[in-house]
Parts: sequence; structure tokens; C-alpha cells
Amino acid sequence: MTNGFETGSAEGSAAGEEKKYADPYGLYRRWFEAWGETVQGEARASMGAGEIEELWRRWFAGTAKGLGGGSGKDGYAGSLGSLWEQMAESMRKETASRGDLSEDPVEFFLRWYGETSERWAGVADDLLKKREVLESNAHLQENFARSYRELRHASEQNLKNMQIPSRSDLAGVAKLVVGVENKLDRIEEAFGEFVYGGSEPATAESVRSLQERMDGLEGKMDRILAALEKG
Amino acid sequence: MDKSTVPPEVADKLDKYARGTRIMLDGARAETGQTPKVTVWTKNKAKLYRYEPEKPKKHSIPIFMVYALINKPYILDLMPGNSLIEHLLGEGFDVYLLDWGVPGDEDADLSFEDFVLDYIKPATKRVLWTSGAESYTLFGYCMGGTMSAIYASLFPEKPLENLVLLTTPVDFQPEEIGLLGLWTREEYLDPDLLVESLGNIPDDFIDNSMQMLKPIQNYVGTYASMWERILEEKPMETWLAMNKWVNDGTPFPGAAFRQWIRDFYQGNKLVKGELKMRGRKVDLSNIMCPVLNIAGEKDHICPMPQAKSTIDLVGSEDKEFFVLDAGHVGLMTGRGAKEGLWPKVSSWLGERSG
Repeated sequence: MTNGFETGSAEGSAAGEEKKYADPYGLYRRWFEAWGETVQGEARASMGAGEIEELWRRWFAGTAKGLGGGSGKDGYAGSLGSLWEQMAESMRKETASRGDLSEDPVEFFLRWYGETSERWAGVADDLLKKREVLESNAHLQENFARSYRELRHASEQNLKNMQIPSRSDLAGVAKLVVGVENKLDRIEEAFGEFVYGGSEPATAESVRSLQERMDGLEGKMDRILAALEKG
Repeated sequence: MDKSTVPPEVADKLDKYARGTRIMLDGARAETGQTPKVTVWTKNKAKLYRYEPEKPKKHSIPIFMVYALINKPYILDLMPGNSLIEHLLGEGFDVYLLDWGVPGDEDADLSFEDFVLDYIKPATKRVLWTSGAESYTLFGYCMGGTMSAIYASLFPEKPLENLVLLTTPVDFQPEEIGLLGLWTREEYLDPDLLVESLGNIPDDFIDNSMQMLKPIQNYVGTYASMWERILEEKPMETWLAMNKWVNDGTPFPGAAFRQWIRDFYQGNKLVKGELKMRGRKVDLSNIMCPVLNIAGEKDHICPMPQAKSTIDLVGSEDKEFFVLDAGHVGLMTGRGAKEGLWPKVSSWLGERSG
């Protein structure tokens, strides 16, 4: 089926990097496909309330998985799994109570969100302040960080064994480059001070004073070297 | 499906669904940060921009903006007609912005000392050299405000003329600490372990943490708003630009993250007078210049009590705490900003900028 989802130009002229998101929103694609089928007269009779409920269920399950899944570093999102389920159940009940499919699903979602969002926001806020959630997340985060560290060390070691530069090797080189840049920056700044900063030209007296300090410094160095040679 | 056979109202709906679905799958795209600018100084990844005014300069004292280490600074110049920087240029100010850039692994050791003393300090010189001015206004947003307050404490004398702090956390342990204050408590967050494991803290970690402060609004409400705009054919530009910005973060340099959590959130050292930058004590009471401190009543990232105490801590006589009925980002853009924040900043500075 050709549909508007697969064709058409991107939204406006792209600026900035394109960013792909985890896709917990499969429902929208399915809606779209269902719309296409409906228009073609293929599916109107077969699209029952049960299927709509199933789609909501899948969407929220996907959302919960997308937000909580994978890494412990996003642990607080994972704490909301039960909340997403409650919200899905609320939508399912709402859909079931209506008993027909006369309302556009997106409009249904907007109406449902408008009517219930404040309550859900309060529930989420309370949930995220709970001691058990805080402790569980701290634990999750700690485990994630430890595992990641181990994995990183193992990868570094493997790359080292294979004599392939690792990420930290590259970072080390980049750091040296930054160090060189910093030195150049200081020279540039010194020139800037001279050009813009109203630096006064050196006088014969200031040059003589500098010469005396240099002589003193050389004398000290000579004495230190002599002492070291004797020692 | 042959589109010619589709009833127009259905085709219209299909197009709208397609549009929304594309945004959700591919991310929002928008042209942002379009005000013309030139780079007048660079250091490592950081760039100092000077914005090119359309109108002649009316005020002799330039504004030097310092943004946070996380997220991108184009929120200050979101899009034409919705940009604080564009507004200030229109009011005759000479505007500079320090963009920290995106840190690499090699920047994981950069700390607040480095950013304040090795970046902000030389950048202020460059602002003065480029503008030819004898003094400047330091303008900090969020964490950039905290860094600006630190800098102003260390170098309170001229050429610093004015200090503007926008949604700037200073007292990290007020009575009402908010969700972020709770999550960053010592028993729940170990920054040393995270930094040791991850180096720089990834942008998705930071973005998710910020969005989780209001999960229903950020994960569901944002898209409810998008669908509403699409279905009702309302303008989408601001939504797209904001959504792009929200998801366009930068990693937090590891050493700075460690300090941000340990010294600021957990130690509250800035308020206690225990914060030091390369051995120099940071004392907010050193600040004597005029200070405008702005907070958002609905700000959940920098709750109002975190920002409020600055006004009691600085030594300035000319100081004002200004509260807007807005959130952390909401006060910067949109109609509320045009009627609230922007005129406040330009009028306050206009009286103090020569």
C-alpha cells in the first residue's frame, strides 16, 4: 500500500542533526495503515473495538518499554512502567465504555489526555518521590555504572591486546592537541593584550630590571648545579 | 492507494497523520539560531559569537551571555520573531554569546575552575576588545548563571558593570528542594561512580533526567500538543523548534558534573561560602554591581527558592528579584516572554548600559 507516511517531503527544511528516537509509537503507523485500509473499503467491518483496545495496549506497552527499557542510566523512566500500564488501562476502559469507533483515535487520545493528564501528572510526581522508587533507581544506576565500567575496561584491554587504538587512546591524543591549542591561545592573548589592552612600551629601566632578575636567576641555577655536582 | 479516489476530508486527515507520524519517528526539525553572527574567539570547543545588529548600537555597554554546559544555547535565539537575542539587538544592544560547544572524551577532566577561569575570563576580555567598550554586562542563564555569579564574585570590580541572572540556582538546599534536589541527594546519586564509568555524562542521560521531572507533560503532553496543532492547523514552527532543542542536548563534562552534584547540589558550598576556584574563595557578597535576578514561578528545574537567595547574598545596593509566571524554558520563548522577560531585561539594562 502506498500511503502518505511513506511518501512526501520531510518536515520543513532540515536544520541540525537528524535524531532517531526509540519507537514506542508503532500505534500511529498502524492507525495510518488502518486508515488506508478503511479508505479502500477493506477493513471497516473488521476493525472492532477489541482491535482498537489491542492497539492502545500495544502502544502503551511499547512506550513503557521504550522509556524504561535497556539501560539503568534511565532508571527513573523505568519506574513509571506501572503508571503507563494504569494509563493504558484507563484508555482501554474509556474505549470499551464508548462501544463504537465513531471518534477519530487521535481526537479520542487528545480528549482523554485533556481530561486526565492533571491526575496522571500528580500520580507520577508522587510515585517518583517515593523512597522505594528512589532507592531502586539508585541501585539500578549503580549496577549500570559498574557493569559499564567493567565492559569498558574489558574492551580497552581487548583493543590493547590487538594493538588497536582505543577510545581513551584517542582522547589522550586529543587532549595533547587541546594542550597545544591552549599554549597558542595564551600567545594570542598576550598579543591581544599588547594590541588592545593598552600595554605600555618597555622602558630602558624596565629592561635593565629584567636583565638583573635574569642574572640573579642564572646565578641561582649555577649554585644549584654546583651543589648537585659536589653531592 | 490512488489518492484521486480518496474523499478530500480523508486525504486531509491522512496527510495530517503522516505529518505527525514523521515528526514522532524522525524528530522535530526546524531552522534555529538564525540571527546573523560572527565568531570572534574560540577556545577548544567553545566559541564566542558577536551578533550582527540590524540597527545602530544605542547602548555602549555590551551584553556577554553565558549559557549552561548542558543543552545548546540557541534557545536564546530560537527563531526569527521568537528570540531574546534578536529582541536585544533591536533595542540597540551589542550582544555576545559564549557557546561551550560539544565536549569530547578529551574534555572529561574539565571542571568549573577551568570553565570560569580559562574560558569566561578570556572571553570577557575578547568582548571588551571587540566592542571597544570599557565595561560589560554579564548575563547568565541557568547553570551559566551560576558560573556567572561565581565569576562576578571573583572579579567584582570594573569592567563588570551589571549582572543578570536568569533562572539561576544558587541555594541548592532550600526548604523545598524539588524532585531534582531529591534525586541528587548523596544516598541516591553517586557522581564519582558515574563519572568514573562514563567519563562525560551522556546527553540522553541528562535529557531523560530533565524530562522525567515532568514525565506526563514531557513524554505524552508534548505529543498531545503536537497532534492538537496539526489537527487544528495551528502554527507548528515554535513547537518544532522547541522540541528540537529539548532533544538536542550535549554531554556534561565529567569533572564538572561531579562538582555540580557534589559541591553544589549535595554540598551547597556556594551559599555556605565554602566554594573555591583554584584556591580562591567564592564569596557572593563581593558582588557590588547592579544585579537583576529573574526566576520562574513554575520552574521545576531551578525552583524559585533556589534562585531567590542570591538577592540576599550579593553585596549590591542596586538589585532586583523579578518573578515571572512561567517555567524554566517557557519564560524564554513565546508570547509570555515577549510580554514579560524580554521587555524587563531590555528596560532594566537600558537604564544601566550607557
